[in-house]
Amino acid sequence: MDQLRAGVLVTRLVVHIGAQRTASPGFHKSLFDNADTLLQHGVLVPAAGRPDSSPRAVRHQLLAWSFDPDGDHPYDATVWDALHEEIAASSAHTVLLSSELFAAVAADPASAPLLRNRLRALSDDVTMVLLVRDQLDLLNSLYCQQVRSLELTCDFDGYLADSPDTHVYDFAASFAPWYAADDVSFVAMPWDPRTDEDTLPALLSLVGISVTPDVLVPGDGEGDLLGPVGIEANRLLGSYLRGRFPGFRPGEPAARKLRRKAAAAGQSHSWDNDEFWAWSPQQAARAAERYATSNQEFARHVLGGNWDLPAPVDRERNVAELVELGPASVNQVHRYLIEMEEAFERLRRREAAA
Amino acid sequence: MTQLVIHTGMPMTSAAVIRDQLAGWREPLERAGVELVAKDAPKAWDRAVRQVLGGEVPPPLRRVMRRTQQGEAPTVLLSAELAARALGSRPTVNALRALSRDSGLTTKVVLVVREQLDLLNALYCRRVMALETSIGFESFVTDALVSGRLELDHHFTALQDASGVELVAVPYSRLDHHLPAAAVLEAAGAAGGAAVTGADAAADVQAAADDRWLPGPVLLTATRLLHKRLTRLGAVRKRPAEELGAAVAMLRHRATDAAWNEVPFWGWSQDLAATAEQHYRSGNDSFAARVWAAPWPDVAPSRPQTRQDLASEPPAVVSDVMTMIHRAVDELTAGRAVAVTT
Repeated sequence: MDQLRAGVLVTRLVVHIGAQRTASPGFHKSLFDNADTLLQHGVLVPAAGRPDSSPRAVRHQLLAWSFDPDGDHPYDATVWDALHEEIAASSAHTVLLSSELFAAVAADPASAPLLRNRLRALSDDVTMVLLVRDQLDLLNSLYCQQVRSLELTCDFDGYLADSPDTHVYDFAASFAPWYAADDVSFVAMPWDPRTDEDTLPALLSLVGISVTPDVLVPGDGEGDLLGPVGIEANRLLGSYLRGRFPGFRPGEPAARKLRRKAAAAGQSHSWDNDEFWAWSPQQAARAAERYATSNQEFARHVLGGNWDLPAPVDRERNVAELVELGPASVNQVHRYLIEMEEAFERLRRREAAA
Repeated sequence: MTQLVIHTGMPMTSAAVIRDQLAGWREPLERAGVELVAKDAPKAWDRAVRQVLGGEVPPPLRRVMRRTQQGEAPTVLLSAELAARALGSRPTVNALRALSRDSGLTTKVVLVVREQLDLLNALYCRRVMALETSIGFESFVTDALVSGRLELDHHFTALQDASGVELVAVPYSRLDHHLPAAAVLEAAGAAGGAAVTGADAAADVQAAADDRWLPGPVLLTATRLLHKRLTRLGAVRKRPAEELGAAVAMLRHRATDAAWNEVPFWGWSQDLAATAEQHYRSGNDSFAARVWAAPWPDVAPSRPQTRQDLASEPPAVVSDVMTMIHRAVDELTAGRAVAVTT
């Protein structure tokens, strides 16, 4: 730590902190695809802090996870030292870090000062970049993601009641200490899933990193959404596996590998043809009203104007319950559970053998 | 004069239990002057009631009527749930009136009536558990409201209007849970009623308890899912009813064993209940005013709706339910019998 506090390693540090579900998968793959190009422009995208589980995407998750040693995820106590060494060995003038998990770390009053110390130890010029998305869309998408990754099995109302996400993505409440501070620059970029803007060039432009967009490999959109039947199937799968395999953890290697098989099976059943939408119009209107004041304050301070991301309050709810589906879908979901159970058993055996 | 009593009831008013209890009390009833002219088999009761409602005198009834001519005044008791539906038809009621008049019978219909929200909830459970349907409760209720069969005042207009046939209605809520047949005898004015109400055979009590049993929401959901899977695989049509019944019995056994849930199913949401209550209220009030000269006795139950969201159940229940269904489907589609115990 003494070494970390002592000096400044790089002229500028840009940290993309999320939010989650703002095209992050495409953005991280785009970062991976463009790492060499960025380095040619003096921007280092470090290898340190990236877990082995996604080798073809740049996600500095290990850096974020280091603030949560007890969580159900990989943990490396030396990850910041490794980052330090990598930056020290580079001649780049700018370092670009990216993990959507940083948002929760930054929003938490307990971990925020630790993160600030870590970042300030790397550079005197720190820019935090947050892609903001309308909360209704964001929470709906986050719920889907957590169900798909077998972390959640509750319904959407249970998620809203229990998840810290509803507080983390109250942007003004969570990030005011950052944008009010004078030792860190905090910028934000509105993100709308309905536009197909490539996030990486837009983000680089926002923070003033000069890279001609046409030299960058284009990124993908949000992708990998699941429809109502797919979400219901995965809620059941999460519960089913927990019941069948006591000690099941969504973070265990076999479960992480199973997600890919589950996603492929979901696609083969065309469960991604429809779009899940958990909010009822009444519930959405109440939530939108609750966030409106905070969003306006955030926009005034960070975006220099009005919050103009539309809240889809009029959208009809589109969810599924297994027992209300037709016989063909019930049969399909049930077979999916059995197939995934068998696949998980095989994966666990393989992991144990390895 | 021979008194003819026809017991019947709306669906889910323990008609089969009542008939079985009456059959079990045949001897004490006969000693008290109440004749059960049908043999014990349900089909025999149904056949006798069909004949009477069709204007025919079944031979056993004819024999009793001959005894009346010899100075006795026996009561003849028939019991069949199917009579309630038939008595919604004016020609049937007229045929019964004609039979009574021509044969010199004093005829009384003892009709057990039940508050419709409670009834529909129980009827839905029975149909699902019998693998007769897997539709949702709301669709089931909507169909029932459209059919109009449970609208008491409307359905039994002809019976209420009929002279020469007395209608005695008994609220289901007033039946003894263990001995529902006793209330029917009392309503019939049968002198033998008191003689048998002391009978409290364990079998009677168990049958009555089974009749009132309601599945929990998880078991009901599991049975609907089983039905849907079997439908998809064509097994509902191909496999014999007893094998399908064994699969449901296996689920029920497991539900009890593993304590999936203990709360009885209640499918009414507040909105749906309000709609249905509104639908039935005026007919019930009007029926009660004509039959009892009193207000409708039962208040629609108000209980929290039980959800059928299997994915929200604890993991052990989800895996158990899906495993049991999978096992039953595997056995049935392979042409093997399902073992009830697991």
